[in-house]
Parts: sequence; C-alpha cells; structure tokens
Amino acid sequence: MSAKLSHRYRTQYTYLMQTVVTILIAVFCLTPMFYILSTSLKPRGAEYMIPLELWPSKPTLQAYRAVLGIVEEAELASESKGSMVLPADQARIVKSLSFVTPLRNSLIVSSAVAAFSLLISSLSAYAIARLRFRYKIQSLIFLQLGAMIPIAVTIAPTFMLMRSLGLLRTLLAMIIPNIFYNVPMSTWLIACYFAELPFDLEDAAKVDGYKPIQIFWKVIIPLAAPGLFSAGVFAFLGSWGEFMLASAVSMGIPAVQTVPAAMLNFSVQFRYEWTWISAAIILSVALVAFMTLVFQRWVIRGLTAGAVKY
Amino acid sequence: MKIRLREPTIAFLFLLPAFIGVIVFYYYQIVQTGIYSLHNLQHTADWQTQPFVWFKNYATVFRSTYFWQSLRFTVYFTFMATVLELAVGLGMAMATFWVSRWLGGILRAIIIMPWVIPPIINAMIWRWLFHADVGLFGYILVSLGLVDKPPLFLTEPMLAVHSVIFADVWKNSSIMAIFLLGGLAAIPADIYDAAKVDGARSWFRFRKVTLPMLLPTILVALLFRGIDALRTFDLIYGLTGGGPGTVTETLSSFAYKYYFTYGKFGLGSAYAIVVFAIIVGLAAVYLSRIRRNMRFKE
Amino acid sequence: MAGVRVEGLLKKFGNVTALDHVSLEFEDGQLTVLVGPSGCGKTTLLRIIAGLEDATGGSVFIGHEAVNQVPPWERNIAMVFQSYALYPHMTVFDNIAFPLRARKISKAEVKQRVEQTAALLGLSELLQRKPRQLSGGQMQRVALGRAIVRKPEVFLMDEPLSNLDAKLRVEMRAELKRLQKDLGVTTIYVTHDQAEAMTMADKLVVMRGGVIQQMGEPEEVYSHPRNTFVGGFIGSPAMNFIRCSVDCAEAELHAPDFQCKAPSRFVEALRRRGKDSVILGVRPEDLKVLASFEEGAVPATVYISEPMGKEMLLTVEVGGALAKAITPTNVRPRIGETVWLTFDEACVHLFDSETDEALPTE
Repeated sequence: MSAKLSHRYRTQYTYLMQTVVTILIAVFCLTPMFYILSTSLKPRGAEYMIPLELWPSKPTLQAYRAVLGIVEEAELASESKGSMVLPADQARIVKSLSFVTPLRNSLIVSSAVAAFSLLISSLSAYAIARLRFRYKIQSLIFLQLGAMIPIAVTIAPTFMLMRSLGLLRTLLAMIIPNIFYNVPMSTWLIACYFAELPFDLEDAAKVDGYKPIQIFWKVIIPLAAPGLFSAGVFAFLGSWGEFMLASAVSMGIPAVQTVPAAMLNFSVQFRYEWTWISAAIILSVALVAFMTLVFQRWVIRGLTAGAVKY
Repeated sequence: MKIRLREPTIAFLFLLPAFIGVIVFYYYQIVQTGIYSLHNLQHTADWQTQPFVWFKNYATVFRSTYFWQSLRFTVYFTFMATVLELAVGLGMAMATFWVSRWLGGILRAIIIMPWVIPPIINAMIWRWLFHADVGLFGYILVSLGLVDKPPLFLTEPMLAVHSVIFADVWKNSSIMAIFLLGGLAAIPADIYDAAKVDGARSWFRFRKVTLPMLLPTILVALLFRGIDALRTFDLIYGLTGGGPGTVTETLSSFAYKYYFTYGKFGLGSAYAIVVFAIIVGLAAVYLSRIRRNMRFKE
Repeated sequence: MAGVRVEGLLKKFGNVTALDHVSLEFEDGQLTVLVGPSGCGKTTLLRIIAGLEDATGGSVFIGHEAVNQVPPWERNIAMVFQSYALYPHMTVFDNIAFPLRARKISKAEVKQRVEQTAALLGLSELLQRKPRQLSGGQMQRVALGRAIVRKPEVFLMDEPLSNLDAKLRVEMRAELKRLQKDLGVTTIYVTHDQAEAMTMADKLVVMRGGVIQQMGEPEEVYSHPRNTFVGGFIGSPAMNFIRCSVDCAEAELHAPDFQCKAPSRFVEALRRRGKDSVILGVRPEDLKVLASFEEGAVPATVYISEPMGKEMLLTVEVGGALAKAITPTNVRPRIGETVWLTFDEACVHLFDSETDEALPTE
C-alpha cells in the first residue's frame, strides 16, 4: 500500500513513526532514573506530597548535602519535628554515613580490579588466541565454566578464606576476589579481539628480531587497545555493582563499604528519607553512567564480540 | 645463560595467574562449599571442628517446603524474565536498527543506560517507584483511572512476584538489546538488499531472513541471561527482601540468608550446591554454543 | 520483457553528487555494461534502478511504467551482488526458491522451477548444500539461479564476477553472456574491469564522477573514444598521450622530441580551432617498434620490457614521457637501447588540450 502513497508523504510518515518509536523507548528506559533525579532535587518531605510532582517546583540540592555529610544540625532540627531521634544524633549519623567514603572506596576497588584483571586477562587471552599449545579450547572452557559459578555458591568459603587471611573489613577482601570474578569474561572479550588481528603480525615481528614477550608488549597490546579498554570498562562496572561479597566482608563498617553495600546500609538507616536515598542513587550511578556514555561505542562492540560471530 | 622458552611453555606461564585465581576463587570454593554442606556448620566455626552429618543438610533442604517454593519461584522468574527480556530487547534492537542513523545513535546511548545501573541500586529505584502510597507507578495507574487506590506492588504476593520480574526486565532488556544489535549488525547489508529485490516484503524478510540469521545470537543471549537470572540475588535482597513472606525468595537469596542471617553455613551451602548443579547444566549448553564462535590460532 | 529508461537522475549523498542528471536508455533484451573507476556512480545508478536507493531527482521507467514510488519487492527485477548475498541459513534449493516463495507460488511449481534452473546451471547435485559448503564459482551460480528462477523483466548485476579467481572469471564471462542471450532478458551489468566490459557488452556506458562519458557499442567506444578519459580507460594497456604543439600552416604536430604530419582527417578541425596545442593519443597496440631508423620513425629509449608470452610490452621514453608499446617477441631490445617508433596515421587520436574532448573528423 505504501507504494501508492506519494514519496514525500511516505518519507514524512516514516520520520514521524521513527521519532515516536524513539520517544517510546526513551520513556521506557529513562523514566525511572528521571523520577529518581527529580525526587533527589525535592526538599526533604516533599517526596510524599500528593499530587506527585514530576519535576520539583523548587529544586534544591539539600538532599545531596545531606548525603555528602555537609548538613547542619539546625537544618535537621527545623524539619524533624516529632522525630524520635534528636537532631544532634541525627546529624552525627548522617555525617557517619556520608557517601563520600563509599564513593572513594568504590573508586579504589573498581580501578584496582579493572587494572589487575586486565593485566592477568590480557596475558591469558594472548596465550589462548595467539600462542600454539594443546588444550587451548579446554583452557578457555575451564576459565569460562568458573565464571558460571554464582557468587552465592562461593561466598561462604571466600568469606572464611578472607577471615583466615585477616582481610575482613579491608578493601583488599573485595579487590582480590573481584579481580578473578572478572578474569574469565575479560579473557574471553580480549581473546576475541586478539583473534581478529592478522596472524602475520607475530611472524613479521619475529623476523624483525623480537622475542615473544616483546611482541606481546610492543605489537599486540597497542593494537588491541580498544578491546582491552572495553574489557576494562566491563570489569570496572562489574566490581562497581558487586554487592554480595562487598556487604559480607565489609561487615557493616562504613569506612570500608563500597557504594552498593553503603547504599543498602543507608536505605535501612534512613528508610523514609527518599530524597536522600535518591540523591545517593544518583551519586552512585553518575560516574559509571557518564563513563559508559563516553565509551559507549567500545563497550557495545566489546559486549557483542564473542556472541555474534558467524 | 640464555634461556629459550618454547611457545607452549610461554602459553602456560601466561595462563598461570588467571588459572591460579580462578582455581582459588571458584573451583576450590566449590569444593569447600561441598564440604561445608556435609557439616553442621555455624558461622564462626572451622569446618574441621564441626560434626560431619553426611547428607543431612540436603535432606533438610529437600524436605523443606521453602526450598520447593523458592525453586519454583527461581525457575518461574528466570523463565518469565528471560522471555520478556528477549521480546523487549528484540523490539528495541529492531527499532534502533530501523530508525535513521542519528536517532539510532541516540537510542543506543539510551538503551545502554539501564544496564549500567548496579542491581542493588536497581532494587532501590523500584522500591521507590513501587512505593505503596506515593510510588510513581501506582500514582499513574490511579490518575489514569485504572484503579481506585495504588496497588500493593511489593506486598501483595502475586503482584510482588511480577514486580520483581518487571524490575529485572527493565534493567536487563538493555543487555539483550545490545547483544541482538550486534547480531543484527553482523548480517551483511547485501543480504537485506537481496531479499528486497527477491520480492520479500518487510514481514516476510523479518521472518525468513532476519530472524533465522539472528537465531544463533538469540540463543547465546538467552543462555547468558538465563544463567544470570538463575542466580539473581541483589535485586531480591534489595527490593522485597524475599517477601512478602518467602514468596520472592530465590535459591541464591535463601543461601545468603542461611549464611549471614541465620549463620547456618552448612545448610546454606546445601542450597548453594543445588543452584550450582542447575547452572552447570545450562552452562554446558552455553559453552558449547560459544565454542562455535571461537576462531583462534590452532 | 521490458527496457529500462532513466531520466535526469540526480543523487546526492550529503554534498557529494554521486549522479549528476544522468539520462540513459537500456534497450529491451540487450546487455548494457556500466563501466568506470570506483566511485563513478555506476553502482549507485544500479541500486536506484533496483529501488534500493531513492534518487534525489529524476525518474526511472521499467517498460513504460514510472517506478520511482515502487519499492524493490514490487519491481519485477532480479539482482546479482558482488558478494553473492546468499542466505547462509538456507540450502541451495531454498536460496533459489526464495524469490518464488516471497510471491506465494505453489509448492509444486516452486519445486519444478527450482530444479529446472538448477539443471540449467549445473547445480542439481548441490541443492541440499549450505552456501558455506560451496566454492566461489558454485556460489556465483546459485546467485545467478536465484536471479533467473523468477523470469524477471530486468537483470541487474553488480560486479558479479569480481570475487572469482582470474581463470574462472574469464570462463564465467562467456557463460554469463551466453545465458543472457538465451534468456533474452534486459541486463544491466556493472563492472570496473574494462576487459570484462568490452567482451560482454552489447552496449557500453562509460561513467566518471556521476556523469556519462560515452555510450555506444564496444568497438565504437574503443575506436572512437570521445575524450581522453575514455581513451585511457578503455583498452589495456592504456592509450599513450603526448602533448604536441600545432603548426597549422604545415598541418604538422610538434612533440618535444619529434614531429609528424597531422592526419588529413583532422586538418580541417585543427585549422578551424586555431589553438596551438593538442593531445596526441596512440594505443600501445598501434605503435610499431623498429630496431633501426625508417622514414618518419621517432627515436625512443627502452625503459623496461615485459615479455607476456606471445607478445611483449615495451615501455619506452619518448620526449621526456613514458609510452607503452606492444611488440612481437622477435624484437628483443635491451634496457637503455634506442629503438624507433612508427604509427599508422589512421590509428591516431587527437584531443583538445583544454577540454580533453576528441577533435571532430571529416
């Protein structure tokens, strides 16, 4: 039928439909975060007012100040009439649960995990993708099968292991296991990337007088930088959101909690303060969302590398 | 002295750190969990000092109605979430592929966003949107006149089950769409052109060309998501805490609860081993699928 | 059966003009070859005729019907792609049957027609194979089978042979031409290979930069190139060009190293034109190489010689420029030797030195 419509009409109709579809998907994907952002900008208590405001009429950064622990006693006092907790106590609690520490912890943990898992995975990926040895596929399967094991299964003995190493309540207890939680996936992503580089490269470098280790560092790694990068982002995101282990080994100590563990703690402590919780959510997501947006193309390419080859 | 390493030796050395880590943090832990599950083990104790109880923990698990209920929920959740995510993800991927180039760029950036959000934070978000009194969702339903008062999304058992599924679908349709988008992009443009010239209209093209060529990707994506959904923990823990009652308790969240709430490491380990057994089955299929994609130097 | 006509076709990609008001008529039942360097707009033209690309302006007619608004699946055309574009998940049978099934043709007829087509192309043994189990030549045949099975009004072929190895390409060239003649379907064939274009075409269309340079029978285009581009593009090795000054009074051409009489058929045009320079074009196969001086011969230094079996390709330096000549192998000059070149004035082409257009003859 569309063939009978005039060309211009058909084109305009298509544009209209495309725009409508884009908007629908955007609404589906963004509404929840948008509403959280809106809630985080409301003054304390306004989140419970009916009719709900989709966007606050008087946006304020009050909630962010509270979440970052820069809140005044007086400010709490004026708003917490009828609360069982004294303003002074509340201010102390707020300060002790400041999100600055978890954000810093998460940044440390995620950066360390990304860096070390990249290092380890690029070595193993190189072996699997480009070196000649038997049991190549078996090695990859061995790593991948490991990654299928849920953390719920390994958490108890890992907890015990960390306890016997005396690492409970330290960031190391999160960093070390998380490195290896990401190694299998990173190995797979990077290996897929390595496999796409021409195999003549090593032969050329060998003829030019390089040793295998030098070839790895000077030829392969620079060429595979985009692949390494997407694996790095992947590991960073993975450890940023890792909750089960983090909450187990941090044992409720705010000083060593990463964002997910602190988030839960915070939402239990201030279960009715949704402007605060919303602000905490926004702070927790902002960095990784920004990172993903900037490196979007590589992330998508990395994610699909292994899944879609014919 | 000059040491000359042969290629297999180098490969072995390169693989060593990864292997050691994976053995220590996965395989060794599985064995440990297996051992724990045979002991009557409490939180703070070493297993050597605790009574060996053979398969008593498993007997307890299999006799418990909670176990069967949570197994049923885990399977139902996995099935529903994966299927819905496939449907939504496929829709989003097709749309992104269909719209003009710059709209497609925008859509890609939008679609990837929910995937970035950590699961526990996703749980927080939906706790607020499903709030019983002032949740945005209930509010919209009331404003549209569909219901008189906001539904109890998280406390009404049937509703809670599906709210959890909805929250998971919202986050993970993203990753499904990204996978499928990759699959779509891997189909050569010539093939579509050929199908058009061969006289195939859009629906016929979708059914006979796009979908069959996408099938390997769909299968891998389903398995990938399925394995992930089976071990869902964070979302449950943060959104419903397994409630109301134990209606939305998954095997993973039960295991965690036994460990760290009740301190029964032995019993929790038995749960964990059951989860593992189920996942190994799916993982075997998944690995044999992605094995076909491997094109490494032999 | 139907001819194809395009009128004033304009296609822009952003501010790049791919087709610049192209008008052409493809005659019913003929094989027309579009040839030109990559980026000349030939594939774009083909895709617009197929309906895979919308034109920015102008119209396309298949038979007498304007088809601008008709989507590709409703145009009665078939197309063969450079990559073959076989459906990898379907067997050979299903690939060939695809266009029929898209048109809801009965099962029995599909089977009968696919088998008939397969027999014609020698694919009967391969019907149950998947594309990845086929050789390049076999895939090529399946792509052809998919095109001819539905008896379309027009065949469009986009470099269909360029993924084959050299030997197979020459074989398939003849076979394709024969097939086209048997079926008598109007065919538009795109290639960048001038030899393929020359051997296959009933009619040749030379394009450059989205503009048609010349259109005509291959022999016509070869012997009377309309400008230096066509002269240089058609024929291999390419035509030699030398810039000469013109002595109108004596009807002579002066190159840096030699001079010669202007062929009599150009004298009038040279005189009327009155400009003092001209481009002389001679094809390598028209240059005769002599070991010793003869009347009117031009001296040249041997730069390199490349034996090609029955003949030899000689590159020589004449007046500071390199020229190519094809000689029988009995002349075997060494590098640096002086040889003498002559050419028949009937084979000379003259082009305007500013516009690159061929000069008119008497």
